[in-house]
Amino acid sequence: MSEKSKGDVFLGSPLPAGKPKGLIDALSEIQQYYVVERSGSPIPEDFFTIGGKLAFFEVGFKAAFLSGMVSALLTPFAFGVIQRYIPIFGSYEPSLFDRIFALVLATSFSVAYAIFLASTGRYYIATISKAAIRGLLSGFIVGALLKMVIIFILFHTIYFYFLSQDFLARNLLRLRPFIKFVTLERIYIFLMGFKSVFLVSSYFVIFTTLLMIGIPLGSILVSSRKTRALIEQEKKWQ
Amino acid sequence: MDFFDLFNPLKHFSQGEYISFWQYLFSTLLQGFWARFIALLSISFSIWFGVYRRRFGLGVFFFLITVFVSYFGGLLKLLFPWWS
Repeated sequence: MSEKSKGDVFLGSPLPAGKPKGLIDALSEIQQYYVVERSGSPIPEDFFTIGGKLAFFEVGFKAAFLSGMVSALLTPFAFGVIQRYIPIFGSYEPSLFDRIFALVLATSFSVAYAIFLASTGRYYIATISKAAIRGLLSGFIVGALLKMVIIFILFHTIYFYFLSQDFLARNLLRLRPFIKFVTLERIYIFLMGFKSVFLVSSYFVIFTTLLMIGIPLGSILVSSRKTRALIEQEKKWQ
Repeated sequence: MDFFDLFNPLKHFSQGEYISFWQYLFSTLLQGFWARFIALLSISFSIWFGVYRRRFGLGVFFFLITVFVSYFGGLLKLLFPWWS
């Protein structure tokens, strides 16, 4: 390296700057911005293009939407276990551990994603890293809220329409030539009891969504303050 | 013995023995203490790998194992009422 280029900082990335393809790429990019900006090298604001902002938004959106969907679809199973309609570990008599485990299983996927995203908090310090985290986080929030609305409507539609007495009886009777009447009757009774699970689940999904949004927001607020305090202390020592 | 008979379990065990082997395996792995233990371990590994080590693939893999161990026992009971 020549003497002239000693002070320069290069952003080395296999991808074009500011266009992550997944969550790992996005976090790596943010880490790079943080390292560069913390070392005092300014990155021009235009470095972060509109396309780059959209790419971060998209990554956050996909992460929240997909992880939220997995959690939301496992929620009726969890409440099915709690209300003893669905067996867990082969048993219809769930212990306290089983009930808590079913809920943890339903929420863990999205909470894990939220904790993963929360790790960006300590990088929330300067212009570009802030803009990147904001893009990622706004995508995450929009994705989570959209998932919440879709699941809320879907579970209510299942409760009020697909599992209404008329609709269910009419459609189960269509299966009469293929399935015994006794079996159809058992399915009908099961679904009539089980349908309330969808209502409880739809409200629980609202709670988990708020949790999913709150974890990274809270963490970013707390850890960015810590990082800023640390940087100011370092400046004092210098 | 035909070469393909090597792959036929019923040439090595009686049907009763074979069924009871699977019954024992499923009742050990998918219900009771070991099911809970494996599920707890898998979900811990899932969070450890997915969040802390940032290895999504392994995180998802262990998450799927947790879902399988938790709910598959009940599904088997529903499909095969003789299984317990």
